Amino acid sequence: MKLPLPPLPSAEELRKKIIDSQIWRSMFRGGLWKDTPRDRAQHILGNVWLHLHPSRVRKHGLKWTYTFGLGGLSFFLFLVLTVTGVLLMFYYRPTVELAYRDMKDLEYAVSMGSFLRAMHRWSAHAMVLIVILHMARVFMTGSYKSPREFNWSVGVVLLTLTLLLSFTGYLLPWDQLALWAVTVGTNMGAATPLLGAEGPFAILGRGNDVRFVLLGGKAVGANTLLRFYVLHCVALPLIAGALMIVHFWRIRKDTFSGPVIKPEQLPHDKVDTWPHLIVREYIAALLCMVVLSAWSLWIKAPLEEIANPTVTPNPSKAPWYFTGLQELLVYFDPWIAGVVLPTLIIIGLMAIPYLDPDKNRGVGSYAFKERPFAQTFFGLGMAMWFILIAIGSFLRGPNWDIYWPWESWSVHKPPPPATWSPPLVWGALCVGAYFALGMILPRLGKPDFDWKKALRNGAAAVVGASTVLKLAADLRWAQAGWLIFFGYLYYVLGILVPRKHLANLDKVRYAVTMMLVLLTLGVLMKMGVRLGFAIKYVLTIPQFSLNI
Amino acid sequence: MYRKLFFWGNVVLFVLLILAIAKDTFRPWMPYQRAYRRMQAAAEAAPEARRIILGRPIQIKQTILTDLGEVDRCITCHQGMDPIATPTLANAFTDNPHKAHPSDFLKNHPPETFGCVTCHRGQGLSTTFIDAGHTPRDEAQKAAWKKKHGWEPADHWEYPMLTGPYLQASCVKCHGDFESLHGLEAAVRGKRLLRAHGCMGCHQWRGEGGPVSVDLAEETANKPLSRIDFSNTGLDPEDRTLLNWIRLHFVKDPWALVPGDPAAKYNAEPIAPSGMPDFRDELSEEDAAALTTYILSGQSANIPHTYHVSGPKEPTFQSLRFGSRAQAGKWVYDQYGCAGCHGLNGKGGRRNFNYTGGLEPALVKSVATFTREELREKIEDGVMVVTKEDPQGPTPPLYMPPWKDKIKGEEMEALLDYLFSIGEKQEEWGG
Repeated sequence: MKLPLPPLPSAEELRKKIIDSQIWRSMFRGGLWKDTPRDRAQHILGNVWLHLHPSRVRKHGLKWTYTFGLGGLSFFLFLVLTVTGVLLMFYYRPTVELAYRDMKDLEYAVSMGSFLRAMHRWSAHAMVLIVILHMARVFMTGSYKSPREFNWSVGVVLLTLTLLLSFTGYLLPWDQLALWAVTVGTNMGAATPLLGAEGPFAILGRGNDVRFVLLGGKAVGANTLLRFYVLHCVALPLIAGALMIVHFWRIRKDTFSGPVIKPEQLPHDKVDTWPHLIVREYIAALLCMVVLSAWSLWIKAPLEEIANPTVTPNPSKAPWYFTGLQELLVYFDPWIAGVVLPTLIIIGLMAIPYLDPDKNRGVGSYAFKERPFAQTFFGLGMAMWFILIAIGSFLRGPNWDIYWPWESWSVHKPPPPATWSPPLVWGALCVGAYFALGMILPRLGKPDFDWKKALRNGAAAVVGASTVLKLAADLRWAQAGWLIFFGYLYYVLGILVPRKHLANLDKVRYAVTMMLVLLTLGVLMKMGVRLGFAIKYVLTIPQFSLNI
Repeated sequence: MYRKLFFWGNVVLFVLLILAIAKDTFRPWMPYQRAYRRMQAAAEAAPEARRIILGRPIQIKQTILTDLGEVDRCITCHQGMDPIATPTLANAFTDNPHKAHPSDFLKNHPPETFGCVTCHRGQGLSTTFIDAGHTPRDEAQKAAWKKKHGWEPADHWEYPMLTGPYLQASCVKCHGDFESLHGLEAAVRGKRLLRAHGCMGCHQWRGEGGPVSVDLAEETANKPLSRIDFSNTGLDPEDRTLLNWIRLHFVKDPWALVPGDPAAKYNAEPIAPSGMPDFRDELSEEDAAALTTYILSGQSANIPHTYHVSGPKEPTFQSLRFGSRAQAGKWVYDQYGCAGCHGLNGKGGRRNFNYTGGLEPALVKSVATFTREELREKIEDGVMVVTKEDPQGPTPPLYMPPWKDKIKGEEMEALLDYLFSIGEKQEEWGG
C-alpha cells in the first residue's frame, strides 16, 4: 500500500515556517523580516552583538576614506588573535624544556598547526600596524577633540597594551629570535632612572630592579617564559578587553566625530545602520581575513634555533615596532631611548587633546590648512618613528653597522669614528640654552610675519653661518651639510612654525606644547651632533651615570 | 558593488580555507608511507596478510626516546626501519626511503631505544625532506636532490645529517673502545693524526692539552654557526656547516680562512690572523676528513652513562716500553704536541704571524745553542711574551706555554735526550 506523503513545502513556505516556529522566535527577537526602517532598527537594537551601533549613522562616517575601517579592523584582529591564540594554547606548554618542541610539533604534527601559528603571528603584526594607523587617522581627522579627549587617552593605553601583548607573545616560541628580542627589550628596564640597576640615580640592584620584576630573574629564563605567558594569555587580554569595552562605550556616548552638521542637513544626514554600516564592516573584515589567510598559507611564521642564552646573535634585534627605539640607542643612552622617550611619547600622546585649544577646528576631515601646527608635528613624529624603524629593521647589520639591503652581512665594516664629549660646563650651557632659548625664541616675533621671506632669510642665514664655520673651524663639507640640514630644520620647525601658530596659546599650554616640540626636535638635534661631529654625550655627569 | 564584493570575498575566503585544509591534509610524507604499504603487500602471497598490511593506517610514526630525550619521526617515511611496520627490520627494497637499515647495526642498537638522529643527526621532529636536514653524500646526489626535492639545508638547524666517514663521529660518542671496532677507520686515524701533528700542543681535548687555542671537543665541535665567520671560506651558503668549517682548516690555508685584521682596518687594535699552521703539505684530503670526523665526535650529547662503552686506558709514559730514552723522548714530543709549532721531528719551525723572523724555532737547529740545563728551563718556563717583527703589528698568535706542570721527571729527561739526539751540532752548520 502506498503511504500518502504530505506535499513538500516550497522554499518560501519553509522559510516562513522556520521563522514562525517557537524555537526561532525564542532565539531571535522580531518576526518575519519585512525590511522596514523599524525592522532595520530592531535588527541593531535587538541584537546583543550589534547593539553597540546606533540604529542610524551619519553618511559622513560611512565613507571608506574617512576611517578606512581601521578601528573596526583592530578589534577584528583582536578577535582573530583570541581565537587562534586559544587554539594554540591547547598545544603549548610554557616551560623551557617543552616550549620549543611544542613549536616544532605545531609545525610538523598538529593538524593546521602551522597555519594557525602563522595566522596568529601575522595577525599580531598586522594588529600593531593597524592600531598605530588607527591612531594616526583619529588624530588627522581631529576626532580626539572634545568631548572625546578621554577616549583618545584610553585609545593610547590600548595601543600600549597592543604593543605589550605582541611583545610578551614574542618570547613564547622560545627560539633565538624570541630570547634576544626580549633581552634587548627588557634591558631597557634596567636603564630606568632610580628603579633600574643601570639607570641614572640607581637605588636598586640587579636583584630587585625593574628588569628583575619583568623577567623574574637577572636574565631571560624559565621564570620569564612563565611570566610572559601569563601576561600574554591572561592578564593583558583581560585588561585590554576591559578597556575596549570602555573605548567602544565612549565612542557611542561621545557621539561620532564628523564636520559640524548644518541644520538643513539634519534629518537627511543619517542612514540606517543595517545594512549600510554593517555591510561595510563585514566587507572590511572579510577582505582582512582573505589577506591574512592567503599570507598565512604561503608564509610560515618564523622559528629560529632553540633559545640559547650563551649565543648572542649579531645583531640582536627587538621586535620591529621597537627597532626605532633600538636605533635611537646609537644616539642616546638606554635610559633615554628605552625609558624616557617611550614614556614621554605615551604621556605626550595622551595629553594632545588637552593641549589642543580649539574644539571644533578641523574635525571630521583630513584638512591640513585648518590645523597646520598639529598636522605638521604629528606628521613629523610619525615620520621619525617609521624612518627609525626602517633604519633599524632593514639597514642595520652585525655590530649595528649600516648595511644596505643589497650588501652582504659577511663584509666587514670599519668601526665608527671615535666619539668625544664636551666638558660638563659647556654641555650644561648647551642643553640649558637649547631649552631656554627654544622656549623664548618663538615668542619674540609677531605671528603675522612674511612666511616666505622668513624661510628665505633663514636659509641664507643658516647656509651663511655654516659656511663661515666651515672655513673658520676647518669643517668638512659633510659636516657643514649636517649643520645646514639640522640647523634649518630647527629654524623652521622650532621657531617659525611655533611663532606662527602658537601665538594665541595660554602660558601653560604653550609651555607644555613647546616642551614637547623641543624634545622631539632635540632627538633630531642630538642625532645631528653625533652624525656631524661625533659627539657622544652633549651633557655627561658620570657620577650619576646621567648622560644626554 | 558591495553585493559583488560580498559574494567574491566569501568565495575567495572559502577557497583559501579549503586550500589550507588541503595543504594540511595531504602532507609530503604520505605518498612514501602509502607506497611502502603497497610494495610490502605486493610481496605477500597470502591475501589475509595483504589485507592486514593495506589496512595499516597512514599516520605520523614516531619513536619517543625517553633516555636520550629525543622524539624521532624519521620512520614516518623510512618505514623499513619502523619496528611496527617491519618487525624483522629487513626487507628486499633497495631504495630510500623504503629500504631497511643496511648491515646489522639495528640488532645491537634497537631503533626503539636509539632512534635515528642519535647517530645520523638531522632534525628528528620534522616530517619534511628538507627540514629533516638530509645531507647529500656528494655533488651528484646534491644535484639529483635539488631536482627531485628542491633540496636546501634545513633552516635554523645546526645539526644536519652526517654522511660517509663523518657518521663515525657518532659511534665515538658512546664507544670508548672505538679503536678496536671495525668500520671506524676514519675516526681512529683522526685521533692518531691529532696527536702526531701536534694539534694538542695548542688545542685541548676535553681540557687536556696546550692552552694556546680552543678546546677542540668542548668548543670547536660545539661551535654555533652564528659564531663562525664564513666570509673567507668561499663556501656557498648551502655548504656553510660546522663540518665544512673544521675541514677547511686542513685543506685551506688557515690564514686565508681567518685573516684577522693585521692592519687594524676594522678594529681599534691590530688582530693577527689564525695561529694555526698550514698543514696542506702534511695532510691529504682523506686525512682532513679523518680529523674532522674525530673532532666532530666531541660534540656534546645528552647520552646517559649506561649507553657508554668504556675503552682501554690511554697508554702512559710509565705503561709503555721504549727501546731507548731518546725514543721515549720522541713519544713525549708527540704526546704533548711539540710538533704543532716546532714541526714533525723538530725539523721545521712553523710560521707565527709578526713573530721575529716569522717562524717558530726549528729545534734541529736551535737545540745546540742551549746547554741541557738551559733547555730544561726554557721548556719548563716557556716563552709567554714573544718579540714582534713589526712593533706596530698585532701580537703574534703563538707562544710557548710553560710545561713544568705537565712534562716532569723521567718524561722531561727523555725529552731532553731526544732533542739533543736530533739537534745538529753547531760546527755542522759550517757554510
